[in-house]
Amino acid sequence: MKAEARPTSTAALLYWLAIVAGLVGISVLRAVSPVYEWYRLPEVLGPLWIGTLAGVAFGQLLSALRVRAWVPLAVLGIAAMGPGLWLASLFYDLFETADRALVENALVAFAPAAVGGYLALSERGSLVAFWYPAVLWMVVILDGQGTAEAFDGRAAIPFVVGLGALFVAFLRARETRRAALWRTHALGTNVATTRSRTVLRTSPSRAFAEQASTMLVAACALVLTAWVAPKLWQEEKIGESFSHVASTTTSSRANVRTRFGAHDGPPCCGTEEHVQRRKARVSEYLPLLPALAGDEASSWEGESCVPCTDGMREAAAMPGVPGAAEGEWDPGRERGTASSTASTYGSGGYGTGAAYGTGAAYGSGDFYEPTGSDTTPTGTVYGPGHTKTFPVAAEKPKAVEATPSIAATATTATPTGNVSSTSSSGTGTGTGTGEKADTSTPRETPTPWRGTLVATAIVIAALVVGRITRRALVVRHLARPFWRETIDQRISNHWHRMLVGLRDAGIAPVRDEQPMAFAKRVGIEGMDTCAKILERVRHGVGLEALDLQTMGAASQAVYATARKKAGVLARTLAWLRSPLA
Amino acid sequence: MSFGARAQRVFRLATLWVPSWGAWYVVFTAKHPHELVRTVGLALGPLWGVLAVVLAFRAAALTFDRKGTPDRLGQIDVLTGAGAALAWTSALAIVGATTIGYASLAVVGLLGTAVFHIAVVRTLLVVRGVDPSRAATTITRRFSPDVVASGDNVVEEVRFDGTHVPLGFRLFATGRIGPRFATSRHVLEPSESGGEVVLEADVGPAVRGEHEAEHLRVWLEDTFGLTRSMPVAVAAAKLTVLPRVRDVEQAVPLLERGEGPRAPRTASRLPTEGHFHLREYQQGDDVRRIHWVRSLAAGELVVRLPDELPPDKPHVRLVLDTYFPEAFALDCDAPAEMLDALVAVWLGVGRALAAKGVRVSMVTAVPQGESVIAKRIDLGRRDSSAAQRLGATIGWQGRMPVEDLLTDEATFVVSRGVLATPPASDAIRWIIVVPDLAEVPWTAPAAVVFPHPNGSRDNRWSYRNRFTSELAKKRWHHRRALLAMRTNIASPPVGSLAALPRPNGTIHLERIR
Repeated sequence: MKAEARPTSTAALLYWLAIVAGLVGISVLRAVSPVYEWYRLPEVLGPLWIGTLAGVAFGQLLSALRVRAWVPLAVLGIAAMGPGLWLASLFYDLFETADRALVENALVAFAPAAVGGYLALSERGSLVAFWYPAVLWMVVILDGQGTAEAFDGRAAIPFVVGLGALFVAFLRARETRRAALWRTHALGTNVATTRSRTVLRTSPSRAFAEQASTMLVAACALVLTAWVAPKLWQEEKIGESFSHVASTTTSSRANVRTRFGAHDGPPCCGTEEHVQRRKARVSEYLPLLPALAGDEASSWEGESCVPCTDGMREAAAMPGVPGAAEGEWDPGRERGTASSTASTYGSGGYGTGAAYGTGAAYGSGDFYEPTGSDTTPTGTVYGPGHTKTFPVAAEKPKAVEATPSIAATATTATPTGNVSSTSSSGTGTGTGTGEKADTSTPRETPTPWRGTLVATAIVIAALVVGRITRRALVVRHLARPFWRETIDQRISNHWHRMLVGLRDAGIAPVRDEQPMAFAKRVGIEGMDTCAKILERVRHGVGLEALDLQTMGAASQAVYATARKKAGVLARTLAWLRSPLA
Repeated sequence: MSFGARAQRVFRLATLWVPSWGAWYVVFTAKHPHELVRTVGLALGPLWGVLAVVLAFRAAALTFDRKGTPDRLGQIDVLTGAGAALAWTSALAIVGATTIGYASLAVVGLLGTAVFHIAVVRTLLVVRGVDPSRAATTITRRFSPDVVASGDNVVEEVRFDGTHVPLGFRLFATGRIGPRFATSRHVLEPSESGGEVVLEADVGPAVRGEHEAEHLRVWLEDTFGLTRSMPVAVAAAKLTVLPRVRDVEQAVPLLERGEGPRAPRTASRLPTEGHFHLREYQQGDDVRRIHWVRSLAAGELVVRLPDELPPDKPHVRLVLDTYFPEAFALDCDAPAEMLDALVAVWLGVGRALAAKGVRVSMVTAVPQGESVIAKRIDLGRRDSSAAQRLGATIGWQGRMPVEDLLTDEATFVVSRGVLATPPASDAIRWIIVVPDLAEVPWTAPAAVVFPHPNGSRDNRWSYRNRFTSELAKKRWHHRRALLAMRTNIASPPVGSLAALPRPNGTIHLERIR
C-alpha cells in the first residue's frame, strides 16, 4: 500500500473554516436579532464580510508569494510617513460620511484578518493568527449576553467546544503541514526525493487512539480555558466608551459606536437588573450587542423604545433607532438626540451624530439637562404610571425631510409623543402615536442554533448509518451476490472480501504484489488457497467444480481470522472505515 | 556547544516557566486577584506542579546519572521554536486581556497556555531524553544497490519494523551518506507506530568512494510541533561507489610511451653454450619447443630456446598523485571533485593503454589505517574491476608525496599539477588533469522572500544568516582550493599531456606545448 503524501492545505482550509463559520455565525445572529431591519443588514454586515475575506485572502496571498513579514511592515511604515498621509486625506475627501464609515469598518476587519491570514501558514505565529477567528467566534458566543456575570455558559457550549476544537485541529494541521514541508524543503542541501512509502502492516486502532489523544488534549485545554478565561473578561461601560471617543471627530465617533451594527445600547429599559446589564457588556475587538431581556426584545421588534429611570419605563418619545450610522445614544449620560431623518424606527437613527457635541440634541425624561443655546423643543413623555413633558433639544445638520412617527409602548396610557426640534440648520418635527401592550412574559430572542445543531447531528448520524449499511451490503454482496454473477467475478469477490477482513486487521497488499507473494507474507491459513484459485482465474486456467466453494470457505476463514486478530475496537471502527479495502 | 546555542538553550528552558508566570503576575497585580488566584491555582496549579515535579525528578536523575549520558541538559530541553513562540504569545495574550480587555485575547491566551503546558508535561512524562534510541533496533537502513558506479542513482531504503512511537508524537528521521549526497528526510506518522513501514528515497547520483554513511538522526516531536526529544543516531550503513571508467580520446600519444623493444632481439649466448640453446622444460614452456630427440637422450624433457626474442609488450607505470595536504583544511567540494576527475583520468588512461596492448601497472598511495602505503596492481586487458575497487578507496593524503612513487621505469604521473621536480630522464611524464570546476554559485536566499513555502522551519532568518555565512566561507575556500590545486612547482616535461574531462563523459588528451 502506497500512502499518498499528506496534503499541506488542511491548515489553510481550517483557518478559512474558522473565519467563515464565525462570519456566518455573526450574520445569523444579526439577521435574527430584532434590533435590525432586514434591509440594513448589508450595510451592517457587508464591511465585516468584505474586510475579513479580503484581509485573509491578502494575507495568504503574501504568504503564498513567500514575502517576509518585514516587507509589508516596511511598506506600511514608509507609506505612513509620506504618501500615506496624502492618501488618507484623499480618502476622507472622496467618500461621503456614510461611505467613509463603511470603508473604515471594512478596514477595521481587514487589518487583523490580513495579519492572521499571513501568520496562519507561518511556523510560529499560529496563536496570533487564531486571534481574529477567535474574535469572530467570541462575538457569536457573547453577543447579547451582557456582562461576564450574566454569561450563559450552557447556551455557549457548542460554540466554545467548536472554537477549542478548531484551535487544536488548526495547531495540529499546521504542524502536519510543517512536517510535510520539512520532508521536501531544506536550506543549503538537496533533499532526497521520496520514491515510495509502503505500509506493510499497521495497527488498525492506532489511528483512532491518536485521534482520541488529540481530542483529550483539546478537551483539557477547553476545560482550563472555560474555567479561567471568563474571569479575565472585562466589562465595558457603554457610556464610558462613548465619552472616550468624544474627543475624536464627530463622524468617526459615530462610526466607532455603530461599528458592524453593534450600537452602544438601545434606548430601552426594563427592570433595574436589565438596565444594569444593558449598561455594560464584555469588552471585545468587534463590539457586541448589549443584553436584551425578553420584553426588551419585543420592544425592539416594535417600533419604539423609551428611556427610563430606576428601571421604570418613562419616556415614549425618545426616537432612538439603533442601526443608524449617524445616530448616537449614550445611556451613561442619558442623552439622546431627538431628531431623525427617517420616518421609521430603526432606519433613520435616533439622533444626528453630526450634531452631538455642538451643544444641542439632548433629550430625555426627567433627567433632562438642557444644554446649548439652540432652541429647546419640548416633548411629551408617556410612561407607565405617569406622563411627563420634557424639553428636547435637538440639532439637525440638515433640513428634516420626513416626520418621524414614533410608536411608544405603555401599559396604562396611550402614548402620544410629540417631539419637535429645531436647529440652526433646520427644523424637524416628529410626531408619534402608537400603542403597544407591555408584555409581562419574557420572550426569548429567536436563535437558530438549536435547529442547526439538531440538523448537524442528524447529518452526522446519517453518515454513520450510511457507512455501516454500505459496508454490510458490500460484504454481503461479496459473499453472496444479490444478482447473478459469473464464476470468475465471484472468485474475485471472495478475494476482495478477504482483503476487507485483512484491512480490518491493518494488513494491506503492496502495490503490484502478486496474490501468492501476499499470502506468503501474511501467512494466515487459507490465504494460499485463495491466492492459488485467484491466480488460476487471472491466468485463464480452467476452474474445477469445487473451486468456488473452496474459495468461499477459505476466504470466510481468512476474513474471520483477520478480524479476530484485529481486536474488538478495530472491528468496531472498521464498520465506519472508507474505503473498505 | 557554541555560546549562541547555549544561550538559546537557556532561553528555551526559561520559557518553560517565565512567560506563564510573568503573565499571571501581571494579571494578579492588575486585577482584584482573590477569586482569580483561586481559579488559576485550581486550574493551572496541578499542571505547574506536575511540571515542577517531573523536571525536578529528571534533574535529579541526570545529576546522579553514572552512565555518562551525553548532553544531560539536552534531555530536559524539550521545547521547539514553535513551542517557545506559543508560550510567549499566549502569555502576551493573557497580559493583553488584562490591559486591553478583549475577551478573545483571554480565550486565545488560555487555549495557548493550556495546550503548551499539556504538551510539555506529556513530553516530559512520556518521552525520556534518549527515548528514540529504543527504536534503534527496529530501524534498518540500506542502499540499493550497495555497490554502484559513480553517477548512478542510489536508493536509500529505511525500514521501520515495530518501531514504537508514543501517542501524540511523530518520529522524524534524517540523514545523508555524506556531504555531497542529498539529505533524506522521513516522518513516521503516529498511526504507523508498531507497524511495518518501508520508505524509499532517491539519494543519487552516486559519488565515488567507499562511504560509511552518516547515521540517521532520529527524534520524536509532538503532533502540535511544540516539544521534541533529544536526537539520537541510529542505523549505520555502507555504500561503495566505484569510479566509472571513461573513454579516452586521442590516446595515440600514449602509445609512444612504454618500456621494451619494438623489434625481436637476438638471444645472447655464452661461449660455453652450444648452437642449440637448450634447457630443461619448465612449466609454462611451449610444448612445441620440446626437442624430442634430446629429451629421449637426456631422459627428461628438454626444450629449445629461440635464437631471437620476440618483441616484448611495452610496460607503463601509471601513477596517481594523491598528495594534497591542504585538502583537509579546505571546506568545499572542489578538492573532492578534483580527485574524482584524477581517478577517472587515471582509470581511463590505464584502460586505453591496456586496450592497445601495453602492460599497465596502476600505482597510487592509499590510506591503510593511520598510515599511507603505496599500492600497485596490474591492469587486465578486459577486467578493470580491481582497479575500480582501488579507485573507490582513494582519497587525498598528506604523507606520501609523488616522488616516493616514482622509479626509473616509463611512467605517466596523473596529477593536478607538476608538484615535484621532474627527473632528468624523459622516462617520466605528466598527465595534468584540468577539470571544469565551476565557481560555487551564490544561492543565498533573498532577504525579501522566503526560500521555501511559509511555515517551513528552514525559512528562519537565523538559518538564512548561518547559511549565507557558510556559503561565503565555502566560496572563499573554493577560490583557495583552485589556487592551490592549479599551482605547478615546475614546468611540465616535454611530452606531458593535459587531460580534459568532457561533459559527455569522455576524456580528451592534448599535448602540452
